[in-house]
Amino acid sequence: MNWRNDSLDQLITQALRQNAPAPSAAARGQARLRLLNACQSMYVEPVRVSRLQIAKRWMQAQWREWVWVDNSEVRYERARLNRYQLAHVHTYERRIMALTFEPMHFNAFSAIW
Amino acid sequence: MDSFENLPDALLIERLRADDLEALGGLFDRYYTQVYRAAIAITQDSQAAEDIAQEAFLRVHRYAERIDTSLPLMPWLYRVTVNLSYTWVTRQKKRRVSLEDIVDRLISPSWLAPENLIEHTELQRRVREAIRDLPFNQRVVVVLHYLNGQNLDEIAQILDCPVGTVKSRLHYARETLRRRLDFALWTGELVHELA
Repeated sequence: MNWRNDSLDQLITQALRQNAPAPSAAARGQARLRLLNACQSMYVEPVRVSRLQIAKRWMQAQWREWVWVDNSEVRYERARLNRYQLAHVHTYERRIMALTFEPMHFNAFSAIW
Repeated sequence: MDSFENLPDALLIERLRADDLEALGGLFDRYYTQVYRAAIAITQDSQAAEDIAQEAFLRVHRYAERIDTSLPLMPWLYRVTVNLSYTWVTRQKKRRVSLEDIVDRLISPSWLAPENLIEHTELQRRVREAIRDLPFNQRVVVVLHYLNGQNLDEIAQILDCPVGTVKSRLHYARETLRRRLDFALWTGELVHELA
């Protein structure tokens, strides 16, 4: 027996629909709440403090003269850093940006310093 | 929440740029189901699909400034979903499956979810397995085409590749599925199903 195109199409569609059910209203509600909470946490204390603390530790550790902290942003005088130093600063920035927003990530990250 | 229903995506994204999280909620209400279903169809894992869908909407929030509001949002969301699913699938492949993993999976709530307890017919199980075994690129095209009802042009836009490539992936995927089902029939494994 060979599958006709339309019956094959129908079979694939049915199998996919059955195996990819729409989420229930409750699951959607929970997911919505989780999403909005996660987004809100981007603006509130833990992240701001975490970044600030990491930045301070960084500054104290190595780049005392050229890197400083301003409103949780790290600023540096680009011209005064050589390529090696600049690469380090960029790596550091990327690591901070890659952090997710739970405090535990901050704790894990801060342990490196 | 209801007030967002008739607003276009572009306006919601503009509001999101102004830190109006309810606008993100509006986009979520509009697109979550499609994103979730695409993710679960690709990964065949409900927990992974939830995580992927959440991350997709987090990216809408994170990259709201960069999203081109002159274009519809859904293709952008599908693209993010496909990329996140790809990352998940490749990580799963690399991961060594331990006995503990299997036990965890068997007793996890997602495994016991009502949708997973539905008795699937043998034929549908075969189709699902065959889709799961397709190369990732073909699987994505199948899901977007058959589940999400995207046409070839739309899929090409989502995957950022030529329409011809989409057409050929779909063709090879269908041939593979047809062969797998033919084989199952030929070996008699599906005979009861079709009797």
